[in-house]
Amino acid sequence: MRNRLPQLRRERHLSQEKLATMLGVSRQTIISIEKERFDPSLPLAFQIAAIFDLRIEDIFTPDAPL
Amino acid sequence: MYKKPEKKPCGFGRIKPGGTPALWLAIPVGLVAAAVIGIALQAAPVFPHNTMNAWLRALLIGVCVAPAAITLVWTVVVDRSTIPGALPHPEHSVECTWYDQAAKDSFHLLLAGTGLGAALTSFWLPPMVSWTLIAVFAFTALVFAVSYLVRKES
Repeated sequence: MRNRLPQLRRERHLSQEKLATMLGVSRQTIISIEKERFDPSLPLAFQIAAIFDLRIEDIFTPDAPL
Repeated sequence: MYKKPEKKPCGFGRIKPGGTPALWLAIPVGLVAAAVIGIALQAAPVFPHNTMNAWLRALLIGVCVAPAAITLVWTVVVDRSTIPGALPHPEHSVECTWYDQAAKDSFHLLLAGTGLGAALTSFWLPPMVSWTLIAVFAFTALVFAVSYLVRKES
C-alpha cells in the first residue's frame, strides 16, 4: 500500500514521535508505515485520516489498481 | 479551591489511575501464593528419598516460585494505562504484527520440528524421546484446534 504520510506530516510540521503519540502507537509504527513496510489496521487508518482531516483514500492508495 | 495534587507516576504502574502502586499489592499476594505453592509441592512425592527438612524444601520451592508469582499477580492487577511509557494502542502498532508473525513462525516450526523429530528419533533413540516429541506435537495441535474453534464460534 502506498501512502502520502511523510508529505502530509511535513506539511503540518509533525514529527514522527508527535504523530505516534497522537495515534497512541509506537514511533516504529509510523516509520514502518512511511516506508510502506506495514499496512495500518483499519481503525488506525481512520485515526490517521481524522488527524489530517482527509479521507483514507486521500492518504492510502493500493499498489495494484482495484 | 484546594485541588488534590496528582500522584506522581509509578514505575510499575498502579491498580487504577491515582490508586495504589501495583507492586504494593503484587508483592504480598505473590509471596503468599509462592508460600502456598511451596508448602503444597514439598509434600508432593517427586523426590521420595529426599532427606531435606520439609520446611526448608518448602522455602526453597517458594523462593524459586516467588518471582513468577509476583509477576503473574502484577500482570493481573496493574492498570496498563498507568504504566509510564505504555502505548495506549499497542494492538495497532507494528510490533504487534511482528509478534503475531513470530508466534506463527515458531508454532509452525514447533509442529514441523516435533513431528519430524518424533519420526527420526524413533529409529535411533530410546522410545521415550520419540513419545515425548509426539506428546508435544499432540498438545500443540490440540491447543491450536481449540483456539481455532473458540474463535470460529465466537
